[in-house]
Amino acid sequence: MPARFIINARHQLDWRQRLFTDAATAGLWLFWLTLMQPLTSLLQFQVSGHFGLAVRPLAMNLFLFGHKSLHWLLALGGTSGLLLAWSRLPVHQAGSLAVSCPLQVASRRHPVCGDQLRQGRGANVCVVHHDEQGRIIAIETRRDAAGQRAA
Amino acid sequence: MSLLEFARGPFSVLAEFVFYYPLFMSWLWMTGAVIFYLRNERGSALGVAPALPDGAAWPPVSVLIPCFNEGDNVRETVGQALCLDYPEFEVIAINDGSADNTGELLDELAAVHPRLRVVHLARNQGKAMALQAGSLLARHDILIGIDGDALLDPRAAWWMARHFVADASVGAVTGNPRIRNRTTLLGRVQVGEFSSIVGMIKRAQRSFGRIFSVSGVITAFRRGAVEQVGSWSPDMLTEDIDITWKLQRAGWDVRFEPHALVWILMPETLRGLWRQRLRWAMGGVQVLLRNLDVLMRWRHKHLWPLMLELFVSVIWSYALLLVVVAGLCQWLLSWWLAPELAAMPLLPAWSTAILGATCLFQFALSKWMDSRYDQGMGKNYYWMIWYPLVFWVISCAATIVACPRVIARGGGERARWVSPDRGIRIDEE
Repeated sequence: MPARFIINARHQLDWRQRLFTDAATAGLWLFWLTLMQPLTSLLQFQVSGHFGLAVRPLAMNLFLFGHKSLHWLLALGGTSGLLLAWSRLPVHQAGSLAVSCPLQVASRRHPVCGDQLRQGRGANVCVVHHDEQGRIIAIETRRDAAGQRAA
Repeated sequence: MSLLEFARGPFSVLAEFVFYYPLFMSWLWMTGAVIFYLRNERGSALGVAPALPDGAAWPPVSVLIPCFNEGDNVRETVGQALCLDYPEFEVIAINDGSADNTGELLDELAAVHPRLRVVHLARNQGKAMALQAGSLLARHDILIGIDGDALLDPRAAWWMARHFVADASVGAVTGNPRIRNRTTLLGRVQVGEFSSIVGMIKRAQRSFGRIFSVSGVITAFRRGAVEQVGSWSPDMLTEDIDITWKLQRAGWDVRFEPHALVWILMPETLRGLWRQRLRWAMGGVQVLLRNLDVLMRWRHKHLWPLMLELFVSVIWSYALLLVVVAGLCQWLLSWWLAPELAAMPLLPAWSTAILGATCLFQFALSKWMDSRYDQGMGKNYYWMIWYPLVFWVISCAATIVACPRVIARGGGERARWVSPDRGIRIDEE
């Protein structure tokens, strides 16, 4: 990766802006981590004399979680498999995919004359004129491939 | 009270849809992306040109660079394109009626670089028309289109051209944009976004059949394929999405090549970001409306999953809006009637935690897949925590605003736009 392509001008930002961004991001991470607390309740244990009762909620939670996960995996796997199989169906092609002369096709859409088109293609610099409908109507060359200015 | 628990009655199904749809799609994208990675990327060497079939030769390419008021960027962009490591190529810069000094700069560059050709459009016509002009005047049949402020990786042409040689049904190959500007929070989050969202979705879509859109900032086209489908449409706000659907409707294969890199600038202000995302959302809705008929035609069956996903995504945006509004109304009502019982229904709980954990896992997976193309991405992971809060809201809002605007706009109007801010540059003074 070319490091010279990367633009990092953070030092140009106002220190208050940098501080606000850093603090807000850290705060958001803390908030996000607190949201994980309900997930960790699946693993809660009680100490001192209640171990037997604690195992049952844990096992039940794990069973429910696993049950829902199985449904989720089936849905995901089924959809992925269906999409993969669907993509293997034969493709319909509108006519032949081989276009013998694409430039002839393009030229039909633009009423510019063939000579100007050939000169434009041979030129290093040219100017293209369009009509109101967006069709190319004229091409004037300024410099040809040899670097000579057009007459 | 979780988001799911508060919504009862007619809104319970809607609320479940709002929660489960992004969760399911995230896991589906990850699954497809891993399949793509294992098939196409594992074991490949980034710095070595790929091999061609025996007896095949590298086809010459024309690099098209539409430029509109790119006076600040054109020297760097054109200079980088001229450094392409490829046997035979030309660079065509199309000055789309720029009001600044873009034209003069291009003429100066053309005078000293024999591989550079310049096409001036007498009046501003829009990107699609600029590409059409470049395509018409190009000397070669493989066209690589990049943006006027994009820096093309020297080896990108190798990786894209090989697809056209290997398979005659390939109509386009899109590359892998990387973000240059990483000064602000928005810039850093977009680095992760392009990896974990754009890159992952493209991999998954390619695994499952069809790509929703090429990246207009770097795509190689077979000129014959483009002309066969009527070329780029001048009335579409996102000409890249449109040409992708045109090609795929006609049976051409559109591929994603993650090794073909281009370095791009993205907005680093909220205003610029909003304008960009709104245009993208409007372009997506335009394509949805223009291609609804594919659902009625068996021959377009390969596009059905894409169309359905696009349609459901639009519905999801409005459903989210409805659920949020309903939740707020319920809370306000219960707070007014029985304040001691009122509980904010939209406060996140464990369901949101699962969604958030999935999000972070997706970012980590994409970081693992993309780290070979963009070193130092791990540092940006820290800032990705903002993505669900900011970008989901922006994308959702853009979709909601885009639909009525597109319907009101109708068709036929020429699409022209000005690129939003290009981010903060290093002050060298």
